[in-house]
Amino acid sequence: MDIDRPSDPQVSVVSSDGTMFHTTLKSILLSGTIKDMIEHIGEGGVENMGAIPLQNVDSKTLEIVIKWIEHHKDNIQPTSEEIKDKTADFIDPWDENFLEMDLDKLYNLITAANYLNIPQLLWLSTRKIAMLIKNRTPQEIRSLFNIEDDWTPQEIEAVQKENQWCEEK
Amino acid sequence: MISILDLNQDCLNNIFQYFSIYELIDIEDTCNAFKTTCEFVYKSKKFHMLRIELRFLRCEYFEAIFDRIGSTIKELQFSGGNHMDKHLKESLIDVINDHCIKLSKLTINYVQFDHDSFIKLEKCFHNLTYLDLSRCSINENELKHCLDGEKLKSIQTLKLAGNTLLNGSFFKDMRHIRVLDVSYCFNLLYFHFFTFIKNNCNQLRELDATGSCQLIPEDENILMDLLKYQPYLEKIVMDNVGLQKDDEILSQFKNLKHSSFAGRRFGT
Repeated sequence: MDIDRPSDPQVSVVSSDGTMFHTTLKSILLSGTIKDMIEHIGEGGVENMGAIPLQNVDSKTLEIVIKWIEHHKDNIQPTSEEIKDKTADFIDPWDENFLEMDLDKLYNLITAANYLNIPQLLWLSTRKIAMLIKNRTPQEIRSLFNIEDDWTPQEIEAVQKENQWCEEK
Repeated sequence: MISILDLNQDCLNNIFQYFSIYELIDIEDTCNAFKTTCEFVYKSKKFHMLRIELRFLRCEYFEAIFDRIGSTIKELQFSGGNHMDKHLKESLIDVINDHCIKLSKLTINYVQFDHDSFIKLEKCFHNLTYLDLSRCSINENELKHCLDGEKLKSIQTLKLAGNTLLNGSFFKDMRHIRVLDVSYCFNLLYFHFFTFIKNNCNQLRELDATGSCQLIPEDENILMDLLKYQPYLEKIVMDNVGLQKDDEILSQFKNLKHSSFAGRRFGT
């Protein structure tokens, strides 16, 4: 092992609005997208490659993402395939607390986790939204998420007709 | 301010993966974008396998479920109740036949069939590789019917556990079975089974005959018969039939990986 080379070198990333963040290689490798980029640079290139531009993630969201990856950098991360089998798994209280944020931030976090390919973070953040939707009627969902009822009268009539048989039961 | 509807389709699909089929059917009424996302999820791998238990089934959703995901389902597991409503039973058979075009594995447990309903259900069997009709009170006398092995060439796994009145004529023509579970079929006759292993079955790999005591008459050596006619068996389970483990015979099965002859003969 090269004695002069730090075991977890610093890496810089730049958000879409031009803010630079510094983190460690171990943390940033939780992102499949960045891991692919770094693997293409090859051995010894990490220290000299400069800041990685992330044009789809703004600074507020990137700050949140970095907080999460730094906390989880030593944990073994499940693959996307393993994540698909998870449904009601236990959630780490730190993660539970971390996800206490307003809906806007949560949407941006989901988009970032999807773009950066961080399966565990995507799982946690989408699960959070799913739990808000569960056990609510369509009307309650529309109110909570501020969604416009965009059904045309013809579509409503079609749905009612489709469901008529079960109302008759 | 952004909305949930600003998330791309990939992200929305991820959120909707958490919902059961019942929840998705309710949620799709929220708006057009939600309905579109539900339709993506209906066609996803999530619904390649569906397990329905009657006690969880809200009857009014039965046809609605299969209308949406019937064509996606490759494996269906249904557990009914012995007093299952006749209308519901007929609906189950109709929706399987009408919608489940990709079905290759079918498990139906705890559902009693009469002749007509069984004949209707049988239409979907020709595409199956796996059929489990355990604990369905299958009885040749009542069904007056026998599964035609030549028409069911794809079925490699047949599970009929706990059909206590089954005498064995039901599956005698099956040639392509590799895995057979006839455990707890107390009335399964040696004669029919012998015909099956000797004349009909090409190559049996796994056999579970736990508790099926009539299969083991005292004056016959079933293990020798199995060795003679089905020497490629990899697994033999014959617990609770009073058969002693015979290492000398078992050692002659070249592919045998697991065998079990535990417990006393039932009723002794």
